[in-house]
Amino acid sequence: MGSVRTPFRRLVQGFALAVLLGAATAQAAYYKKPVSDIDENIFRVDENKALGVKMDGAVRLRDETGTSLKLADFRGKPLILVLSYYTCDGSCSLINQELRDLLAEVDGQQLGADFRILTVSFDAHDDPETTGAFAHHVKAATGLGPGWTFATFEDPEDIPRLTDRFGYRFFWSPPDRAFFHPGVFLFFSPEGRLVRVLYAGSVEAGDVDLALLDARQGQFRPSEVLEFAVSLCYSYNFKEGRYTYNIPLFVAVGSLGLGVAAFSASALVFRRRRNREGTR
Amino acid sequence: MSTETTTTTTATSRFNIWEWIFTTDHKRIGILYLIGSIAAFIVAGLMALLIRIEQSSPSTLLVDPSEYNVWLYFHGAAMILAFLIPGLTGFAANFFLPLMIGAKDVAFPRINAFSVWLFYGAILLALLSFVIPDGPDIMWTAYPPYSIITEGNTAFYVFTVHLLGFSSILGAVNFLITVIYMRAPGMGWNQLNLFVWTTVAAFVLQLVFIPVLAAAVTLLLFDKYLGTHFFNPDMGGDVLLYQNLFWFYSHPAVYVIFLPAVGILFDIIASMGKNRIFNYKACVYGGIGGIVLITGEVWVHHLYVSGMPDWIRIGQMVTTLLISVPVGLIVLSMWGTLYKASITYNTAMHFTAACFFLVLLGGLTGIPLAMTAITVHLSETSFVHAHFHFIMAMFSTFALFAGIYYWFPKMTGRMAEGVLGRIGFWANMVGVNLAFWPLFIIGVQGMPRRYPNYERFPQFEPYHDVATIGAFIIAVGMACTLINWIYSAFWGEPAPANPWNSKSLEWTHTANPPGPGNFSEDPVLDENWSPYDYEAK
Repeated sequence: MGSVRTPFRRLVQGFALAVLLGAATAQAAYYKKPVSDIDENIFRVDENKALGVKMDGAVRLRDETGTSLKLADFRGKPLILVLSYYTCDGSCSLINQELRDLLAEVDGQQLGADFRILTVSFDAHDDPETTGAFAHHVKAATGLGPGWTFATFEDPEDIPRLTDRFGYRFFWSPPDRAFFHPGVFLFFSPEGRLVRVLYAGSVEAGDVDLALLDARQGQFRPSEVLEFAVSLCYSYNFKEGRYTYNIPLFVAVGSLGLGVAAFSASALVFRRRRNREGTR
Repeated sequence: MSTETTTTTTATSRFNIWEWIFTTDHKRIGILYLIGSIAAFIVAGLMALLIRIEQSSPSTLLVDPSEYNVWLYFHGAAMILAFLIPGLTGFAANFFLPLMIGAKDVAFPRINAFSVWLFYGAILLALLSFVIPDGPDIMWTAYPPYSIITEGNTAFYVFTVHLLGFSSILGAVNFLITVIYMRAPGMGWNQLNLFVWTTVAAFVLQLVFIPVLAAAVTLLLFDKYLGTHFFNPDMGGDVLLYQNLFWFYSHPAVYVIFLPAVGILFDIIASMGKNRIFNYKACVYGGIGGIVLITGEVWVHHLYVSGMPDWIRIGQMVTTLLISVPVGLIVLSMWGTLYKASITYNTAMHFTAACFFLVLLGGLTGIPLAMTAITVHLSETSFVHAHFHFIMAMFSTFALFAGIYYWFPKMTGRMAEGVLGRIGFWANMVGVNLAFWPLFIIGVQGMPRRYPNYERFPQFEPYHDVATIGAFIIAVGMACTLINWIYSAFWGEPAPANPWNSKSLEWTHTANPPGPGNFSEDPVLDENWSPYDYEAK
């Protein structure tokens, strides 16, 4: 009995595999990237203009408890700024959760103690209630310490003032009933200057770690010398919005040994030749 | 100790070009370096005159900015890479270092010959930049992104640097091994001429730092022609990294030029003043050694106006100022050697004395440039331009000229003393001050470097006019000097065996000019011998 069923089963399995392969091939052959009228470059921050720009410390915010804050309150430590809106049912939660998950993998730099995060809504309709709900959703089940603030702008006119300053472009799409906006993490120095821009979805924990080190503008504790030295092995890739290996530095450091090697080899050759001539 | 033997031979055998092309004699190779570097100097000097003519008018006078950039490129690259470095470490070291240490030749004569022809290949490439369409217009620094996006042939610059760098590394290896293993029996480290010490230091710097420049320009070449993006910021490259790598070599290169120049001056001062070197050991181990140790940690002062943490900026300010301590030790030794000296004021000594003034002026104007708060204001102004022309360009050129006058009898068997030489000196001295003092003044007032026109600053025109007149006076001085050398080499007064009564080995133990093998008998020295064994005063 078993001997009859086994070939049949194999036949079915083979057929299923062929169908799957065919479907996959067809999918691969006919898949077209969804057409969008939106130029992706709109959602990239023009770093040529934005890097080094200082945030306006006078801009007033309101957190989930309704407490009034100023942007200047976030100076003194590196800051990661995430612009979102709290009724977003799409990327905003994912972006903030991605940052949360990445930070869980970052060693050595503690949220609150070494840097802060500010998520602020660019939607004038958000209020402390939506802020609180969003914050709860993002922060749920994390071991991250204090230092992450969720807020809205007190004065809606401050929204374009802040976003324009850093080349952050967004717009409301009536058919989609949603904001279209970049998913970026903006890293600020302790004095409030934009230092790095990383794009959600393409960064790793190491990128966040390095961006935070850069945001500290060379300030590091003696115990962090090794981390600082390692950070020199990477350079910030403006094109890709992430850190890549600093290949020229490796080549240059490697080349340092060339001259010494040439000298050592030549000295060896000379000494051997001299010894040979001396023994003749 | 072997006996002193010197003679002068002015009659020369018939000139045979093949003997020169295939020569492995360090002295002939030295002369080849001298001819090549002087040729580069003449063309680069003509570029300087054109630049000065262009600057004599606030508006565009002779050429468009891109052609002006080609002049700037050639002037800077040729003066530094093809004149000063090969002139001091190629010519002077080749001809005199083996003589000073009692060696018959260098450790690897064929490699030495190969080096000089690499150098000529580089000069040829550099000269071709005037012939080819779209010559390099990237200064001697070749900063990206401009060097990547320019229509100019960046490859010519890169290959020129490769050839010169390879030539310098081969030279460095050769001379270091020569000094370590081929000194005359009995010659200890503390009995070396200061020129030997300074040249050894320069070669150590070349050996360590040149490969970094070679790596940087090679990656630049890849960026320009192979589509990589190591330094192109638009494509994710790190543009500041190139500047860091470039200056990591190019600041030590200042000392590759400065140190042998100082070494020449020491030997002249001691010989012309008949005095021992003041504080020899402090000068060697504190001064020369200190420079070698510190010079690798000061390059960032060229990048003060780029973004960097304050602690790096301040740290580099400290190291930059700190290097004035070993430089100070060297200058102190030079002044101390002159103390109570009975100085012979010949043409070599005139140029040497001028160097005291130039190094003082160049050194003092370097202090504000080392200080972060001030240099932010002065960066990229003609103040910087004037500073490095005093401390590096003119100081080293004057020192090299002093050395050529000092060793002229040794090279040719004839004297080059004469009215034309003195006229040349004074024209140079007056011209240098006229050409560069005005640039200090307008630099402080904000005159930018490298601008072909300055219509927005018409008030600077009179200063530029004075500088241009100064440049032409320098040209007259240089022409007198070169004519004097050529004339004297053929028709000059025959030189005595040891015209300066020097105690150095190249004067006491070799003929004028030295024959093959340099020494009629191998010099053997005792522990009391010194190249500066003059009576204490």
